[in-house]
Amino acid sequence: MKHHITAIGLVIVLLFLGVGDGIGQTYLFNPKHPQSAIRHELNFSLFSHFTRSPQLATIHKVKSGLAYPEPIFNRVFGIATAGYEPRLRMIEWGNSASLSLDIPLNVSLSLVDITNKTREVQYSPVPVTDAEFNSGIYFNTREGDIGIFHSEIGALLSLNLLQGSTLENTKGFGLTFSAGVNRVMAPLFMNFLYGYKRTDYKGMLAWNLAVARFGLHFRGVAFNYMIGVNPTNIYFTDVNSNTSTSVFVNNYNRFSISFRLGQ
Amino acid sequence: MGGCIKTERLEPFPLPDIVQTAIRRVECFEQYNTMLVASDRGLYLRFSDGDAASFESEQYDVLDNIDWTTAQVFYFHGRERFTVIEGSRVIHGTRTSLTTRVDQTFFPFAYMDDVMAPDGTIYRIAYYEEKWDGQSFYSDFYIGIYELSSLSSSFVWDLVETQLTVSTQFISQPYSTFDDNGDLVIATNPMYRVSNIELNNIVYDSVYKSGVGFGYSSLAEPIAVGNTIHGFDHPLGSIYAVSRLYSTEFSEGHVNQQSLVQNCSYPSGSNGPSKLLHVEGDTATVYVELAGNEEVGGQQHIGYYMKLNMKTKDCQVLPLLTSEYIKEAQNITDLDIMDGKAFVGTTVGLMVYDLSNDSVSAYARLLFEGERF
Repeated sequence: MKHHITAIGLVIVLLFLGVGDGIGQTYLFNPKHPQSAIRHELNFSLFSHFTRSPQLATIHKVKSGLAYPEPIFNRVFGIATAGYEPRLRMIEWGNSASLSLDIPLNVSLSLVDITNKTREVQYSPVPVTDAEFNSGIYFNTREGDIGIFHSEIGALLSLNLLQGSTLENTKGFGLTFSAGVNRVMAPLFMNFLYGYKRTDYKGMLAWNLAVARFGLHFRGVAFNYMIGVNPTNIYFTDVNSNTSTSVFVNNYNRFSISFRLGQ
Repeated sequence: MGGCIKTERLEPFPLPDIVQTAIRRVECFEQYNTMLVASDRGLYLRFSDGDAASFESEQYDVLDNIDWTTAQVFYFHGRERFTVIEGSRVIHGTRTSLTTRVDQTFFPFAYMDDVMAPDGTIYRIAYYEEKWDGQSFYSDFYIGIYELSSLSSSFVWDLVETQLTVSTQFISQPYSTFDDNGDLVIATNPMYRVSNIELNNIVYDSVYKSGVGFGYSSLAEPIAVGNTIHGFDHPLGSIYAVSRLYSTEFSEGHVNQQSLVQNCSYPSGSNGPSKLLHVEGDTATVYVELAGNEEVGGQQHIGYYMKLNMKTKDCQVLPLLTSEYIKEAQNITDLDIMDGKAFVGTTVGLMVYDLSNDSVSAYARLLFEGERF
């Protein structure tokens, strides 16, 4: 019942905004005239881009006769990110709504590390030797971050309303709801100071995320917030405090501003 | 959005460093998927759900004083309780506690055997009195059935006197077991089957045994399969080499024997079966210990396990091979089998030997890698 009320409310708001005025003829993407169905955007973000991979490994800290497992994941903090995103309108309904396939391509100046929640463990996948294991060393660590810069490529299906939904729409305001997959490749450059090799971290440097995005359009500018939709919250016991704590992995958060290129 | 969030939990588990030192004893209870491991550092108990409890000898002095080679180990699933009996000490280990009782019960004769009933009650079968009628050449030893008391007294065994006797000529350890019907079988000569154990109400039947020579007196480590009782000529792991398997129908007097040496082609460097690992139907699996590595066909063998069909007498001897973790036969201190894996106690720790592919890894490492046995 609550969902029905929300849906009805949303329809009323959209009608109020004028979506209904322009819905009429349906147009499908015509490959002979791609320029009229593609919108190009450049996007940027600053200190507002953060993602973690799914759990990659488990380390064990040992204290007072107990082994405390902790998750290890690839953590990416984007300092500055820039991207280009073509939006291919597959279906247009009149001049106020469309369904588009968006391909965001991003490169980020970012700090990348394979680490734990508190970041005091810089994980190395090199297995411990039997001698190390028997002497109480249960996992290997690194001395520095794994690398810098990362890139992303996504594929999103978007429902666009009003401004930005079609070439013809002249409303000053628009909305976009998107859902799809985003692939993260991190880092782009391994930390050469310590000689880290990509081959030693096979399977840890790229992952796919299911994401959703909400965008607000004002003329040629859009504000977007993209989030991972199926993160995992891993509960574990902190070895020092012996209390339960948790960390989200397989998550994604990015707030960005984008500018339309051309029409 | 909250519905899309998956939740996982990583739970702490007892540090298995207790099993990363010299191992003294390994006992697996396959039907319950539980295990007891005693080492120089303490006692490690693993339960059926994968949880484990560690008791360090620094905190429990008694663990340092146990002779694990002679201790008897029991597990009662109804209470998830391990019981270790060694000499006058009785230790109970559970998920959360380790308790010790020191017994002052007087046993007039050294012959005794401990056995656990299906309901978890532990009995000690021991002679409590010797009587001579003044005329016969032999005297009679009376078998007492001592029940492990649940009371917190220093006398942990409650005697139930019986009229079950063994003549001096057949005096031996009163090895015992429980059969499929829950009756206590005392494998002496005569052999007794006790269906009711109550003070002043012992219900039993008995059969005199013959057929394997005048010297037959008992079946060591008896195994009851239906109405048939199997056993060995000596207890496995004792200083005496085990060379025969005895089998008898309880209701018949005749005792059959088979030569394990001939049927099973013991490896030359072994002293025969040293531990009964597993019994399933008529098939018993035993460990055959080697004093040193044996090279066969270019392979280094560090020991054998033998599958013995006690009914058909078929025998299959399978080797345990060297690995990075176990290089020498003499490094093995004890082993037991559970779920297709041999849990091998060595001088440096507990190893897991996968019998299907001969791969070996340290138990603690496998736990850290997420393996749950």
